[in-house]
Amino acid sequence: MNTKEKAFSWVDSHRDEMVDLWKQMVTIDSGIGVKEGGMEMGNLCAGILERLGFSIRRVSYEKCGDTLIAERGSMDKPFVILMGHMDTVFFKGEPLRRPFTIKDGKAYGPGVLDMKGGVTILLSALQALEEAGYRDFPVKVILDADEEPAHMYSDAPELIRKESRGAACAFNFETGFTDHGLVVQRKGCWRFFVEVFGRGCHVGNDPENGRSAILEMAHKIIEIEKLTDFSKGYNVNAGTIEGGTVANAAPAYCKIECDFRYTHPEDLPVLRKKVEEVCSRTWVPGTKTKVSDNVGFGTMQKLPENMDLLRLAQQAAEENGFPVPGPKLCGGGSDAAYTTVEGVPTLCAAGVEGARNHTVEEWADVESLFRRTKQMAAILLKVEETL
Amino acid sequence: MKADLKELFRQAEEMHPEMMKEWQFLVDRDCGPDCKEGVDRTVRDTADFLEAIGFSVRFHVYENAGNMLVAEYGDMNSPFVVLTGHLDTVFARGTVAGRPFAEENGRVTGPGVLDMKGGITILLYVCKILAENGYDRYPLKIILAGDEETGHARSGAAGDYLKEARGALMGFNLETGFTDNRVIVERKGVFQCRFDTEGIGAHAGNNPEDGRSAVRELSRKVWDIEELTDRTKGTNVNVGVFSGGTVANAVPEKASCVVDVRFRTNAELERVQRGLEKIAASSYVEGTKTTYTPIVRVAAMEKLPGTDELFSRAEKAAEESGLPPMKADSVGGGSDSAYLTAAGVPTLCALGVKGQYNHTVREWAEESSLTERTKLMLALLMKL
Repeated sequence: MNTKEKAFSWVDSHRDEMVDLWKQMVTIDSGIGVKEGGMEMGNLCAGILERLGFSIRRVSYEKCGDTLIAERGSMDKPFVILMGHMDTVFFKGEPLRRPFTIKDGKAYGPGVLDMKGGVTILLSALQALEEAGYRDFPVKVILDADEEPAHMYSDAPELIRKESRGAACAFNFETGFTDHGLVVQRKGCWRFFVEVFGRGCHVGNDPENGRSAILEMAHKIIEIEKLTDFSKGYNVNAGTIEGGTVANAAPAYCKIECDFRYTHPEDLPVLRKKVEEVCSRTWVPGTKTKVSDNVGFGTMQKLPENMDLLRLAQQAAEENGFPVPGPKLCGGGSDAAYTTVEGVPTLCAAGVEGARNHTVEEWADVESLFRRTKQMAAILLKVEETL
Repeated sequence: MKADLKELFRQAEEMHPEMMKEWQFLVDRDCGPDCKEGVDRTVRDTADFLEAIGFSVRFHVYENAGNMLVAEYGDMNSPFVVLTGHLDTVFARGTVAGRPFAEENGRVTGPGVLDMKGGITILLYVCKILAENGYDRYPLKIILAGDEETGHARSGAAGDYLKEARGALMGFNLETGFTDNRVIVERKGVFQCRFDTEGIGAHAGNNPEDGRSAVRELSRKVWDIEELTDRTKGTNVNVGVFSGGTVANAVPEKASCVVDVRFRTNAELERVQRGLEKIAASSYVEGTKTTYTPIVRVAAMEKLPGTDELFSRAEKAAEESGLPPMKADSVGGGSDSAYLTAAGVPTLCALGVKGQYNHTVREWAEESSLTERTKLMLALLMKL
């Protein structure tokens, strides 16, 4: 057996252990704002990586689990980044309400797809290669614990950028797609709030004194959404609105939360300006409007080298009879934004395949856990040839 | 009729202690929306009172709301005068036990003391005094509702009101009086409804083009809804509450808003309602659907061509009789007077005992207004 066959054989003979690890992770409550769960995930992953010969650095934060930087081999030579996040989008207590289960080849549970299955693949691929006797390539693992709230509790974006410098390539084990594609580009996302301050009044007693914040906002929503231009790769969505308190008062306040997706980073400042222009206009005299930033994501840039890396992954798939991954542009953000901004060729969505992220219907294809672990082992062996 | 107004005033003063007892009797029985049997017993007792002084009585019986009493005096084929009010209160069963009728320093308290058991007491004693003195100026029709506070939502009382009022010369509603002697000649109507828009949800990053934003659709409708406002006609249309969507990164599937309409004439309400229905039925964002649900409808008490004249005659009658000067006013907030004006009957409202803080535990009424307002009603019925 060659190294690859040995690695594949390890996967075939350790299916139960891999599922157990996956289950262990889903059972850990690392939802939004659950710091102890994030820490527990970090300890679990760090333990496995230490046994595989990694040296671990941790960066700690007040409100979320540590970011782990695990290294093996010389970082002076071009190295491979394997990355992901250990938190989920759910609130505390979700694993108790909805524990890990498998039914008809599909796995369920909080974060089963996004992205505890992917973290399982990351660790299992390293372990399979280790068992196959292959460990002589420089590799850095980066796992953070507040990706879902867009790193509002940590400096992970800067940290990932810093740690990426000098890397040959990166793989992010985010949510995989059922069409087996790998993500070469992600849109950026700018989140912002618009608040309108009007003037309330009782509609029975002095209706003429009201300045409706809702009416003003209704005009702004239409104008803001008009900025959408799919042909230019950007679109804006007024996702939530709350205005007014009771039917019989002119509403004094209204707030919306918007989400602006853009493909090209250079469009962002232009779009910001356009939004600010719209918001500086007034339809209902006497109302005031405020725009403020919410958390967002940068774009995962489509580096030409992302496509080279994809071709390598495609070859690995072809040689081993796996479904050949196509290139995907994805609308949702990920940490791959921060490796590509440093010019590191990156493929994202290398995790287990499934659908319905961020919902209670989230599911993952169990078989993809084994197939994608093998595929990643094969890709890493190929990458080594190119380094 | 032999007695003059002065004599009737004297009788009214003499009856004050008896009227206080009747007022107490009426207050000290739970007549809330959850207490049909209490309202119906009061309807029966009130009917007995009027029957004893020569009125003939009829009832409109409802299954789920307090009954309506109609009492008539004289030849109803001639133009008649309507005296009206309601026997129910807003207070739940058990309120009387905790907070019965009480009088202290000229202020009377208890559930419904102002709204409007005091007015009912006046109405009954005006009838008694007039009947006992052989009143023959106009036939009188008394209409007393048993479910005004719930807007007749659970009965056919609104329709019965209209039928009973038709053909009347003028109407007087002994509703809650104002301490500053305002008499109400017009009440704005209230209409409230909601719009629920359903679009198609989508992820704002992955497949935004599949989404159909309910928030955008309803926002555009908000423009049209508020445009129905016509201040020159006293019509105000307000989108008071707007909510929609769940998270920023999803094209919102659902949005809803609540609309409040104030109007001076019922024709205006019809115009606005037609407009609202049209707005709900059409859509700007293809693939969205909107349902329109009326919630509250209180008809306007309209100012009719004869209303101003009725008021100025009433004003004059009060002045000539040495009673405090009245002021005409328009207010928001509905009453059953709306059904009288809808039947074409010029009506004055808020002629009951005077006080403050309806619908609250602080509700109080001025004891002296009981006699004063009895005299006012006698003056109006003797002089107009």
